[in-house]
This record gives sequence, structure tokens and C-alpha cells, in this order.
Amino acid sequence: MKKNVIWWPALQNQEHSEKYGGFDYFQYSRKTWEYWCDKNDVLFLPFENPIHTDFTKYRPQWQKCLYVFDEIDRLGIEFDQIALIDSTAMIRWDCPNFFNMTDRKFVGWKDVDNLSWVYDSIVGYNDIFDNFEFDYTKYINSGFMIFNEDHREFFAKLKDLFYEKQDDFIRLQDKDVRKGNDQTPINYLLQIMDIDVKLDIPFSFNLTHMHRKDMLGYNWQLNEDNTPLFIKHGYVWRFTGIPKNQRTDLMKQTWGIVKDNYK
Amino acid sequence: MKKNIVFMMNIKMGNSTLKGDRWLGNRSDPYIYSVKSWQKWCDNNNADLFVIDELILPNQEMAIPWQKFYIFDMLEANDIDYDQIMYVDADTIVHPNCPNVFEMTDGKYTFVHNEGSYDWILRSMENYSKYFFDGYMFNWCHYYNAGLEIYNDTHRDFAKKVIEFYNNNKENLMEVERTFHGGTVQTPVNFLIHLEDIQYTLLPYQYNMADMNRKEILRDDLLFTKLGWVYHFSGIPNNTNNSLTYHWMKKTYEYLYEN
Repeated sequence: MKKNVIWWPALQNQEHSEKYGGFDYFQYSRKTWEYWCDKNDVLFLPFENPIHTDFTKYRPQWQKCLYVFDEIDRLGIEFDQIALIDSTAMIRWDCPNFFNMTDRKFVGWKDVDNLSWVYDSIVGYNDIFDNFEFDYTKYINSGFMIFNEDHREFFAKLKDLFYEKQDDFIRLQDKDVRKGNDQTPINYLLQIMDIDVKLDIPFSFNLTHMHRKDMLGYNWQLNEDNTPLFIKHGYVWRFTGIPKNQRTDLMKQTWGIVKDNYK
Repeated sequence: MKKNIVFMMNIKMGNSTLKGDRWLGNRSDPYIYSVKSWQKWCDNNNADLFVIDELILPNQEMAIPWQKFYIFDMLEANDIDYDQIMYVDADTIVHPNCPNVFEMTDGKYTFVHNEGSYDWILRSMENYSKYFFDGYMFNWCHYYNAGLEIYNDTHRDFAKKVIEFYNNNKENLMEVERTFHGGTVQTPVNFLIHLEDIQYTLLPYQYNMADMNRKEILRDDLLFTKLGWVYHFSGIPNNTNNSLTYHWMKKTYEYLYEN
């Protein structure tokens, strides 16, 4: 029987290990997703062995998208829907099964945290997309996306695009724009191919930039429950938009607070 | 023929003696730019602008933000026939090319989710929930910013219920506001929308761009004017005496309307 799949990329780019403060944070993400998958009859599928080891030419962020269908096919997995979720994310133990909310569409969440960054990235990539008139109100975060067999062609086109413009992408992401890797090209291609993206699942299912949202604290005014707001009110906690070398500490602290719920 | 109405409150409280009064002094100075921008938008969209510059009730008796819910009575008293009513805060500026939002409502109560500090929002929700709504909570991702909301005659009863709620809870509301600083009317009305099962339409952020500094778009190059339509100059840090509100509203108005 076809199962839903959590595609969980956890490639270790050792060249960036110092920048990321190591990759110990993977373990905290993994524990939560394994528990949630087991509870919801979902297949947990880690992506830990890179297809290409040259991470300058093939960033982990690219590989997670370019080879998702190849890897699932290679493993002979019959899937229903696939959720690509970055290893910067932890899921709350009682998160509802979001696969039931998709209407079988491509699902994304709007990226509206740092709109200056988003704008600069869109403008920076506009040239290589032939000045496509991009609708930035539909710009999504590529760290959590849900899709299915209907979207195989989209990812095939993305791979074609990547190989065709690989040198341009490397130049833009490493030198000229420095605003993301896969995310903005994915967004352009979604709009160019006119993919129907479902955008209305609440963002409590993809809580990015939690420090910018002021969600790391608790309600000190009532002082009845010191559970941090993101744990209390969010379902998928994305440890993004923070100094990368603080990620492991924050995820470790979070695990310390919530671990008893995953037994 | 019934027209759509844009409704604003541009109250001068320069002589207020209330300690800590938010409307004290020259706070309202920049609001002239808001009024002027909405007037031009109304002219372009076959709507009428209705500006209140005097209070219905003294501020001590009912804080200013609650008084907007007398709008139905005010329009009736002035013999103004209307189709839909859009309330906008006086610290907003609309882009001259902003699409006609009255055409986006589906005839429902319409507003924009409040992007901003969720520490403030969630504390406010939890506190009001505890003291007024028996622990009830609603989907906080739909918590709206009361700086722009659209209603029509079918919401007249709801406006009455809001006023009734205020009158029935007046002392406690003032106490909770003083104690927790979690806003005045916005959070209670958010609760009432859900408890009264009012059907609503959520517009995207571009139609009420609150807390722009947090999103790093309140920049000298006025980047925000490229990203949306209604600029809400709220949540500006270090905004002593509203001076930065004045700076940004003046600069934005001149850029959009006097260039």
C-alpha cells in the first residue's frame, strides 16, 4: 500500500561545519520526526548520502530537491505524498497529520519573515529567468513543501534547469546575490509552470524565524505556564533565521523541554 | 446609489490630561498624510471618505478605538447611504494604485492577519481569554489587525454586540488594558468575531502592512512601496512622541503623491 513519506535531508557539508556549529542538531530533529511518522503511519526517509560530494557545485539544498524522486524510485518505495522537510525542523508530538490537509496539491508556506531578503533574492535572479514577471505575494519557503506524483514533472524540469544554468546559480548564490540556493529558482519555476500551490495551511505548521516572531519566550504576565510560545502554539518549529552556530544549542534546549512527550 | 465609505478617526487630543494618554500632544500630526492619501484613493475608486475628528464619548468613558463601532449610527445620523464601510487607522497610507479592496470581500467581514510580534499577540490572546472568554482560544494564525477592516450593513448587529460587550465589561477591560498593555479593542473583537461565528475574508499582508520594521522593509529607499498597497506605520522602535511615524508618513506621502 502506498504510504506518505517524510523526505528528510541531512547532508553534512563539512566545509561549512564551523559556520553551522556542527551538525549535532540533526539528532533532535530526527527524534521528533521518527516519533511523529510512527504515530501517523508515515515513512520516515532520511537523505544522508549525497549524490554528489562536491558541495560547491551541488549544494545540499539543491540535492534534496533534484534527486528526491530518483532516490525514492531507486529504493522502490511506493508513495502517496511526499513532504520535504529540512533537518532544521522539529515537529510537535501531537501535530495533526498535514498530509490530510493538502487537497492533493503542491503545498507551500509563504515566506514573509524578512521581505527585504525575499525581494533582493527575487530581483537578483530575475535576469536568468528572462525578466519573468514574478508575483512575490506567492513566494514560498522551500524548507517544507508537500507534493505528489503529479509534480514529478516539475522536479524533472527543475533538474534540467539546474544543469542548464548551474554556473549561473553558483555565481548568484555564492557571489552576486547571496540570498539562498534552491529556494528562489524553485519559486520562479513554480510560477513559470503555473503550478497550483496551496498556500492556506496555517503557518503554525511551518514556524520559521521564531526569534523574529518573538516566539521563544513565554507568557510571563500570567506566569501560569512557562512553556515557550512556539512549543505551545506551533506544530512545526523551524530553527531558521538565527545565527547558524546557535542552532544546535537551541534545538538541544527545546528537546530538553519536550522529550518526555515522545515516549 | 449606495457608495462605499472609507472611515477614519483623526482625533485631536492635544489638550488631553490623561497620564500616559496615547493620543496626547502632537501624536496625530502625521495623520493628515493618511487622510489625504485615502481621499485621493476614494476619488479614484468612487468611494466617499468619512473622517471623524471629534469623539462620540469622552476618552475616559470609552477609549477611542472602541468608538469606531458606532459607525453605523454615525452614518445613519448623517443620512449617508452606504454599501460597504472600510475602517482604516490614521497611521496608514494607501498607494494611489491600490486595487479596489471593496471588490475582494465576498460581502464578508474583511481584514488582514496581524503580522508582527507574536509574543504580544499570544500574550494578549491568552490574557483576554482568561479574563473574558473562559479560556476559549481560536486559530491565532487568523488573528487580525484592526487597522483595516471592512464591513457592511449585515454587521450592524455585530457592532452593537461589541458595544454591549464593552459596556458590560467596561471596568474589567480598562483594568486588563492597564495591567497587561495587550491592546484595547483589537483582541476582544478578534474573539467576538469567532465566538459570534462571523464569516470573514482574509486579505494578504499587502493590504495592511503592519510592523514593517520587523520585516526589514522600512528602508530609506521606501522598498515597502514596491511590495504592497496599504502601509501601516506601526511597531516602529524608538518612536518617541510619534516622531518617526511623522517622518515616514511624510516621506511616503511626498514620494507617492507629490513626485
